[in-house]
Formats: sequence, structure tokens, C-alpha cells
Amino acid sequence: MVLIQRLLLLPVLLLGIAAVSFGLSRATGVDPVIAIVGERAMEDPAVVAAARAQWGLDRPVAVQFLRHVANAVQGDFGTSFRTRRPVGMDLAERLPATLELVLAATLLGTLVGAALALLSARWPHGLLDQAVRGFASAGVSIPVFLAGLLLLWLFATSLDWLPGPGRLDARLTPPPVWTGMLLVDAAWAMDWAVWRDAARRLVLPAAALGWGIAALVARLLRATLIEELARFHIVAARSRGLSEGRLLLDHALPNAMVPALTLVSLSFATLVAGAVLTETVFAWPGVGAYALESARTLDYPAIMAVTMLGGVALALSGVVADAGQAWLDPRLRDR
Amino acid sequence: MGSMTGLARRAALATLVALGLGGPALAQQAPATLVVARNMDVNSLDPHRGFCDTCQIVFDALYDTLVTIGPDNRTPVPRLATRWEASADLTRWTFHLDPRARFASGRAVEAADVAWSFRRLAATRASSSFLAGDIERIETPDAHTVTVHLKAANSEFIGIAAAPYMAVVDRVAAEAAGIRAEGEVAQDGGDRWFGENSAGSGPFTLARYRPNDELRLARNANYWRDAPAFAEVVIRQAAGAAVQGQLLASGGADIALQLDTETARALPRDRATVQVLPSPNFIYLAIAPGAPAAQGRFTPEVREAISLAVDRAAMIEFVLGGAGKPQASPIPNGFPGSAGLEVPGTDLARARQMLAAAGHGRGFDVDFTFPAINSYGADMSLVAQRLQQDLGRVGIRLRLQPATFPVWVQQMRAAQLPMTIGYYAPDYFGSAQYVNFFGIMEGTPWFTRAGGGNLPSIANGELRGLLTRALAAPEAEREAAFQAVARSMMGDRIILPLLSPDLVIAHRPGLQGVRYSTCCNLPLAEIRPR
Repeated sequence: MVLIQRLLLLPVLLLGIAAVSFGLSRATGVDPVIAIVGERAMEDPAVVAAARAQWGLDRPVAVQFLRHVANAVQGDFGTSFRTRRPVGMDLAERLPATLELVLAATLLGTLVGAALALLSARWPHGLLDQAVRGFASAGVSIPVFLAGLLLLWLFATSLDWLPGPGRLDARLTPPPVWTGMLLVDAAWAMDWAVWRDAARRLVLPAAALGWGIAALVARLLRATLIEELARFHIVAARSRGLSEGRLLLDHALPNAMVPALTLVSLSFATLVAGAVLTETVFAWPGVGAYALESARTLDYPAIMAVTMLGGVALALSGVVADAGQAWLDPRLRDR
Repeated sequence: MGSMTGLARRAALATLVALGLGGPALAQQAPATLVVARNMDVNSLDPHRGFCDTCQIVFDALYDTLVTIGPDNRTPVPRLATRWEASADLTRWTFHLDPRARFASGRAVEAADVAWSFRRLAATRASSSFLAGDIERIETPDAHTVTVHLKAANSEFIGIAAAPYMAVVDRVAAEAAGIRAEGEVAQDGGDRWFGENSAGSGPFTLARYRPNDELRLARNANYWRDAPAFAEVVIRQAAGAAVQGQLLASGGADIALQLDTETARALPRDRATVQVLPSPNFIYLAIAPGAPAAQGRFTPEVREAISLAVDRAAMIEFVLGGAGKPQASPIPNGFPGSAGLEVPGTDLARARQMLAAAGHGRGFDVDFTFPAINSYGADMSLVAQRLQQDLGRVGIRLRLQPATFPVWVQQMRAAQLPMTIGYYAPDYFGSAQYVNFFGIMEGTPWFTRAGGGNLPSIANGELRGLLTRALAAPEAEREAAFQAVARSMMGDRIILPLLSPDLVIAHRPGLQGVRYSTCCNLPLAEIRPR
């Protein structure tokens, strides 16, 4: 019921996001024509007038907003001032790159975080536990761009184990676009040279972005596992002679997973935000780098579309988190 | 330590191999691909609408111009035109096209294509349209002769004709796609069509363009001159010097174009050859005597004192690590009129004396808004900090206020900034562009920005006449005529060039022909394996 309510509220939320982002972008007081014609041509009235007419900026602001909303409802987010292409086309090209990165970071972060939490909970307060807690502290406190630069310096430049920035070696021919995710498309096309290169290039940005998730999962899961291991049913199971490993994996972990998975679901939106910096550091052609460049150049149509996309991602991650919780915890299903 | 590292490496490699990721990629590498890393600032691939540094490189590769600028970065040399002549009054320029010239479509390049292209450049009313703004009419007496009639004498039209924005487009291919040179040009869809197609006679054709990701050029199979060495050129998006350096060092790119000296020094010697070249780009201090916030302080004497307080050599060292040159006037080094000009010196005692005589013995405070960006390897924040130090020594206290680029432009255009810093790179090889932009005379951007509307007395009364004379001067007298223009602009002390950053270009060893061009930035067709 809650899920249906949330989905029904989504259009209202999007309208609100559109209004706020449109209002904020206009509130800067900066003439968007600067982004279109550049500094020098701003002094040429003919050029400025032509640009205003071409991009609809000569109309009243209210009309601009209503047109934007009306077009957006039909899936038309306008034309980017910067790329001069439909924003929808830009996002369609870039979204798969971000999704691939964020999914890899989520997977890597969750697996590494869970493994560390299990080790930590198995031998609490020992040397390993201290190390895991140090890893978690570093993960939540080191900015993602710094982590990215450090990883690049260490693994790409100094050790030369992994390739540098970029999603694919420019000398390779990308596979035909099927999903836009290189690993999937290359596998579909059975182009293993491309697949290997794409996979190797995904490791560092996914590690930089996923470090924070790993830290959070390790910290939360460790705490809930230690809590679970102290419960009566675990004590009873231990007294029946179950091994510590089975106690941890079969009895404590399923119960401790619920809050951790909620955390992972809700972190998805944070990861999308973190992708802005990761994509810039790793020259990753995703929505994050697009958003940053759009904001820098006052590309209003692109800014609004990216903001709405972020709103949808945030709302959907909440819905997924609720659905996941309900799946894992039967008590929540009837709410 | 060594064994620890070896152990760690083996362990990590084993993990990677287990994941199927280890070892060098078995890439099916096309050996004839050249990869250039740079921040792609492309705003359109329509050659008559795009206006950016990357656009210069790409348009030069896709399209031919009538002439180009030779390797000495001064002399016009043939491209589509085998020869040309100007009338005695420099208002009529006739170009004779090479009959061998062919578009990528195979069709011969005709005079009508040149006329259509120049008309379209003017009609798009885009940022680069001013280049065709002085054209009165174009005649095509035969298929291989074009005569351009100008509204006024212009000795620099040959330099304008070499600008990549003066690209000659296959009008038949373009018109078939709905592209127009007259009428509703604004809605002709050129941005979209040229983003997916090219219609030129240049050494390359457009293969694929993904904005802010990569741009692929393929060798033009019908190219009518010597074929370029590389079958494919990829321009790859890399924002910032650090990312470009990483790409070059890791083999992901062959050329990095926007490095600073620090990043270049850190590149492994066996992986990068670094060229440090003088450039015509420059950073300037601008004073707006007529801005309301200037409160009438910036008299000619105060402006002279400000100039005397700036230590240009120390600024080049501080901002660029020494990789730059001082510049005397708003006409940059190497351009007509710049030879032999003396760079203003530093004299703090005289500066203080002049300020005291102007009633500012105790100095004054002034807001100093500047664009917080890195421009041509110069961090504008460092420039502002150095200026704050220099001017502070004579009592002028700058309150630094960094701003985003659009906000800075907006405030500057409204003459709201009493002092600021800016940057400039040439649109073509010629000095008139600097006079028309920086000259303090009615109608120029910097007359408005300096507050000429509030304080018309700042206008330089002789400048327009000097420019007209320089543009009509015969070749033998041109340098001296532009030098008079440059000296007159220096005398205004409103635009004070601070430094000209050297260009730092790094490329992998084994390449030759990598050079900077004053018209075309990086001529891709000249690059070849050693």
C-alpha cells in the first residue's frame, strides 16, 4: 500500500523538482545566452537576439516553464545549450555508463563490506577488527575524488597494473549498442577483447565509488552481527554444538541483512551523486560528468533534466528499499 | 620492502587473473589510430556555428579553407586557393581555386561552394559570424575564381580567410540535408546534422561524435592532397591536466594538449616528449574607470601607477613556474604590431609617488571579482593572489572575489567590476581583432565594460583612425602601422597584459609534426609516426 502511494506521488514530486530547479536556475540572475554564444559574442546584439529567438529565451519566464513541463511530460526535455542535441538523447547515451559504474560500485562495495563485517564479527575487538574499523573510517571520510586520484596514481601510474582514465581504450571499436553497458554489450557481441578492457577499466572507478559503501556496510553489518550473535537463539544454537561459521552465516547474517540492504538501497542515490566526481576524475562519460559540465556552463535544459532524473532515482531507490525490506521481513508486508 | 611489494603484486595479480581481468588487454588495436586527450569545449560541429578551441582543430581537419597559416605561424600559404591577389585599396580579394580540389563526396570544389559557405557564416548570426561581417558581396566569375568584395580595406582578410570557421562546405550535400545559407538559417538544423555528418574537402571525415566523450575522425578516402598518416583520429574528453597526464602516461592517449608545467614535469620521460612553445594567448588586468564602483579613482595617473606596481616577471614565475612570456600590449607576441614593443617595467617608488599625487597616499580598497578558472595553463586564482600582493605594496588593497565564469561575464558586461582579470586567445591570425575587442573606442566590448557609457572621456580618440590606416597599409608599412595602434592602446592603461602562458604539449615519443598553429590550433593532418 505504501509502495503504491509512493509511486502515485512520484508525478507530484517531479513537478515540484521541476519548479524548484527552474526557479533556482533563473534566480541566479545570469543570462543563459552567455552559455550559448560565449563571452565575446555577447557584445553583438544581432547574435544575442538570434540566440534568444532560437532557444525560446525571448518568451516570458512563466511561458518558458510551462512549455518545459508540457514538453517533459511528452518525454522532450529540450535541447542542450552545450551539446546542441536533445537532452533525452544525451542522457540515453550516458545513463548506461553511470548505471554500469554505480551497479559495479554497489556490488563491489556490498561484497567487500559484507566480507569485512563477517571477519570483524567473527573475531571482534582483535587486530583484524581494528583494521576493518580503520578501513571503514577511511572510507567514509576520504572524499571520492581523492580516493580516485590515489587509486589512479597507485594502480595505473606507479604499479601499472590497471589502465588509466577512460571507459574503453580509444583504439578499440565499441560493440554495437544494445543496453549501452559495455560489459553487457561486449558479452552479447562476444567481443572478449573489449569486455576485458572494459572490465579492467571499471575496477578503479568502481573501487573509488564503492569504498564508501563498503565502509558503511562493514560498519553497520558488523554492529548488527555482533548484536545478533548475542541473542538467545544463537546462544542456544551454539550450545547445541553448531560451528561459529554456521552460526554466523546461517543464523546471524539473514537477520542482520535487513538494515544493511536498506542502507545499500538508499545509498544508490548517494552513489549517483558521488558519480559526478568519480566520472570527472576517471574521464567516465556518464550522467555525473554531464551534470557537472551542465552546471558549470548554465545549460538550463540539461540541468533540469538531470535534476529530475536524480529525483526519480532517489524516489525509486526508496521504493526498492521498501520492497526489499518487505521481501526480507514478512512483518512489513501488510503495511 | 622489495619482496613485500613483489608479494603484494603477485597476490593482487592472482586475484585479478582469477577474476579474468589480469594481464595486458588483448586489444585488437588498430595501429593507425591517434588519440588526443583534451577538454572538449565543442559547442557545435556546424562549422558556421561552432566557436571553440576544439572546434578549430576539428574544423581544420574536416574542412578546407582558402588559405592556411604556414609553420612559421605568420605566412599565409595555399590550401584550396593556389594563388590570390588583393586590389590596391585592399577592398577586393580574388582567390584562384585548385582545380584538383574534391569534397569527400567526390564532387569538385567550386567557387559557388566558397560563396555559399561565406554567406552562410554571416547568416547564422553565430559567435563566429563576425569573420564574414565585412564581406559586402562575393563574385564567382568562373568555377575556380572567387572575388570577395569588402565593405572597407582590410589587409588582414587573408588571415581571416585562414580561420577554420571560414570552412568551405559542400553546398550540394548540405542543401540536400536542408542546410541553408539564406532565409531561415536559424532553424536549418545545422547543429544536429553537422553533429552526425561532415561535408568538407579536408583530410578527415566525421565518423562519430559523442559530446563530452569522444570525437572520431576517419581518413578522407577522397582527399585530394597527401593523405594523412593516421587512418583514424580520436579526440577523447579529459577534463583537466591531471587526467590528461594520466591518459598519456598510461598509454590511453598519444597527445595531451592542455597540460600545465607541473603535470608535464611529472610525466615519465620514456612515455612523453614535452614541448613548451610560446603562445599568442594572454592573461590581462582590466581597469574600468567608468564603473560606478571605481568611484572615479582610476585616473590615467592611477592606472599608470597600477601598471608600475605589477611585477610581471615574478608573476610568470609564481603562476606558471616560469613557463610564460611577458607581453607589452593587447596585441600579442608574434602578431602584427608587436615586434620591438617594450614591456612596462616595475617601479614601486614611482607608483607610490603617483598615487600620492593623485590623492591616494594612504591607498584604497577595491573589490576584485575574477573568474575562478584555469585558462591556458594559468590558474586565475593565482594571478589574482599575485596581483593582490603586488598592488598591496603600493597601498591598493584588493578584496578578492572569485566567481563562476557566467557570473563574471555578466558583471563585467554590465560595467560592474572596477578591476578584473581576463584571458584571450586569437580567433584568426591578425591584430585588428584585438583593437576591435580591447580598444577603448565607441562600439567595442571593452569601451562598454570599462564604463565608457558613464565616462566617455576615457575614449581613445586616435585609435579608430590608426586602425583604419593599419588595415589599409601596404604590406611594407603594415608592421609599423599596427605598432602605432599597439602603442596607442598601451597608453590607455586600461587593458594591461600580465603574462602570455607558454603552451605545453606532450606526446608519446615516436610522433612528429605535433605543433601549435595560430590559425588552427593543432593541425592533425601533419602528425605522423616518426
